[in-house]
Amino acid sequence: MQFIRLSEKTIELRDPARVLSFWIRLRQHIDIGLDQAEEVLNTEDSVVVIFQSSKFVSIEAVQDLLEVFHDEQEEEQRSALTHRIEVDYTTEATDLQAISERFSFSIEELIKLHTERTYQIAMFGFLPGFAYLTGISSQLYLPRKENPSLYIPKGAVAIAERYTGIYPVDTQGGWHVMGYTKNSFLEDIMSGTNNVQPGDFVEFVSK
Amino acid sequence: MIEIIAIGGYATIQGCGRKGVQKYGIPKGGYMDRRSAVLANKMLDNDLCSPLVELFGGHLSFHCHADMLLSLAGAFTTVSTGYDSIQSPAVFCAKKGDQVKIGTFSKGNILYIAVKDGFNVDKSFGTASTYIPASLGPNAGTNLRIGDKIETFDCEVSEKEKSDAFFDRHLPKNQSISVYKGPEFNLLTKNCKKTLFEESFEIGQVSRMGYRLFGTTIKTNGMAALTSRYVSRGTIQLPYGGNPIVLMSDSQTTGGYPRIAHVVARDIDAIAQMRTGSRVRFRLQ
Repeated sequence: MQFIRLSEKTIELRDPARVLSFWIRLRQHIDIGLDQAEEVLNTEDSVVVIFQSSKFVSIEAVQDLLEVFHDEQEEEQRSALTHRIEVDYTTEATDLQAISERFSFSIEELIKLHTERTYQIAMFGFLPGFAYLTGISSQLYLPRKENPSLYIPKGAVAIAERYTGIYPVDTQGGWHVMGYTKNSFLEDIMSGTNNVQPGDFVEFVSK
Repeated sequence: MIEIIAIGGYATIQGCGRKGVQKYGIPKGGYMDRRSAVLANKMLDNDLCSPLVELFGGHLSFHCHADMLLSLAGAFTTVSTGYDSIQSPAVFCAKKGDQVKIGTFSKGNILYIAVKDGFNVDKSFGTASTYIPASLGPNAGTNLRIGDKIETFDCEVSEKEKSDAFFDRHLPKNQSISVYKGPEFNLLTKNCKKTLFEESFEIGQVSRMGYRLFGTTIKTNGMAALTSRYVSRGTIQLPYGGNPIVLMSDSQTTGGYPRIAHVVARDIDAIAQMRTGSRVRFRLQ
């Protein structure tokens, strides 16, 4: 594993293979107040630990982190949830028609390809409450748009590269929109129920 | 209560940063120039995270619907109450019916306006910091506009409380900003590294999310696309066009551009106070 100091209070640890399990374990240590960390978060190939103060960032702190990393003991974990999300796949104000032409799939085939998979929340980022969902069919791999759309409404379900995701707020963006949902992870997060976490699964259901 | 009657700059209500939400992609947010914001609250013996108004670029007038004790810190400016003229930083009283007019800034770009006990506003995730893209925080999560009213707490105000104390009139210096090497620093060629530390950059558009740097381009010969990694206040990222961006308080939590450097904590406030058109140099910490 690689340790990189990002700033006075922040360390980045890289181990692409074990990011989610390490993140979950570290989170538990922080939830029970063991470490002087303010926050632990993850990206696809790293875990980031933000300490409350630079004085806690020490060799000892790094050793503590390593210990948690190597601790193979199965601790009681919140088991991953599966979130089922209803999507209105529509050609109205979406890129569905364009994607269909690009891949020579019918719209029904596209919907089937998108709904038959179970995705995993790899990380949050880019926008508040925006989950990068991995596990998309390679038949749906599409680069981001060369010219991002100036307006993508909240609730848009979109694909780009190896990911699919739901736009949590009105914004501009370069992903290809397939449909719309009323669900938003941001609302779950705002309600404070901690209902949604990296590592959870997501399935899309055609309305 | 105060009521905004004219506004030329850009103002929001801010407090300390949100804790424990970056894992959901929600920015930490909070004051841009922490040192000045904390000073404004300290001047009134407030809690250091008390909600205050953060004003970019000057020009804000408000009507006081009650007697109140206020403080100003950050940018240098002159404030008029109709019968009194005050130089920031300062503590001053305003009476019910007064109109407080904040003019042009003579130095700096962000002024903090605090009231005794803080503005009485809604919080989200434990703070009054406004974050517009997700409509978080007070005033329906948006910037202040004419007619907006902000509640204050009742307080007994006497002229005696007006303070003539000498407040630190030192704005953070901005000529040379200390940085650490970023995790992707070594993706830069020798010449690019030289450019970063030997040339000066011009501050372009400024926003709570980040300050764009122009004037000098760091020419890269096409770097491979990176996986998205953590970014935060102080990260200097280098988009492929070669114009770096210094991320600020409302920074997104992840980004896919190389993180070439990170501003040391004590110098971020100095950058925050820099205006569009001014120049900045970086040196290695």
